[in-house]
Amino acid sequence: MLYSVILPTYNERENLPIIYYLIDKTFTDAKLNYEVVIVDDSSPDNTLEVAQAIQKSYGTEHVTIVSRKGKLGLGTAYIAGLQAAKGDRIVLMDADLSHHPKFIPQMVQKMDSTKVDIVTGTRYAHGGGVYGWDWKRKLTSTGANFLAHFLLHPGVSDLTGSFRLYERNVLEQILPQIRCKGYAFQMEIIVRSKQAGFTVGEVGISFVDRIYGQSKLGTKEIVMYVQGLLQLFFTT
Amino acid sequence: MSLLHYQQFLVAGIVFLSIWYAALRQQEQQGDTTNNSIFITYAPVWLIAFLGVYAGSSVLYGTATFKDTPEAAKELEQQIKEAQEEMTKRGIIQQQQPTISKTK
Repeated sequence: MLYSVILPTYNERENLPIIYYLIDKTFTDAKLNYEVVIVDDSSPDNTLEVAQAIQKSYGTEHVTIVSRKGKLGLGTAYIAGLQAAKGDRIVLMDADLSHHPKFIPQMVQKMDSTKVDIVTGTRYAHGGGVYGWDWKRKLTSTGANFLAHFLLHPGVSDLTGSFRLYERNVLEQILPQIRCKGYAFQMEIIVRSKQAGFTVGEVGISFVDRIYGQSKLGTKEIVMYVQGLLQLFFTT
Repeated sequence: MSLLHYQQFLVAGIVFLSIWYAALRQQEQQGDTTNNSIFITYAPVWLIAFLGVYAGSSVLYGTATFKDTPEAAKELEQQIKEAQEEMTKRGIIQQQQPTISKTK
């Protein structure tokens, strides 16, 4: 069983060595076979150079690099990563250290024992939580989550999370169908997967938000979220 | 084939309105004999008020009980140092990196 961790990167020159070290450590300690597929969108800070150094040190059997011509978006980055990945199971996660690879073995265990097709990390249940969010950020997140649950009844506590383990066939079938952008993108994957008959399990994770002051939640993101939510409400 | 989400809401809405209509008709015919008339007459208003209270209290409760994980942040800071050491040894990190920790 080979696990492919797909890491889309944009200006992650500082974080990439750290996240790679943690992934390598986690999989080695858990005695699981892994590869990391780095999908870099021509980062201006030359993340590609760091990715190549990692590949040189750890070997091409562990590191695959997909270099794209520009900032082309998360959805197509996942698809490009999937095409290059050789694994039977795929981990999608953020490269900015907000997700800790130590939860991956727990996700694997969940998938093995309950035979679900997707295991999603959750910040809202099963002992999950966050660090670095003030009450306003928590309020926004809780409100958004409530609205999504009210409209979509997904049966999953964390709809917008991006730290998940998938059986490969799920992504191959579902990713090409995804239309939403931003946070709604992650929601759409779960909604369409469930409608296709795939099952979803959850594992509590800690989300460590270290990007203080650099808000990833401006008006634009909120508008895109509501648009995506409504799109899913009317088309699924 | 199952209904789309908005269709499920439409069906629920139609069911609710039908029951309400029937209750209003019955109330009209039987006269104002019970104390329930205010609930029946203004049922949609009560429903919206109930939903509003439910939504508001769920969100406030969820926000207040949102778990903080400071130990995760501490562990991460420690492991960042560990990672930097190893990756410098391997020549992946070339020189003294600026500190990654960003503070408020």
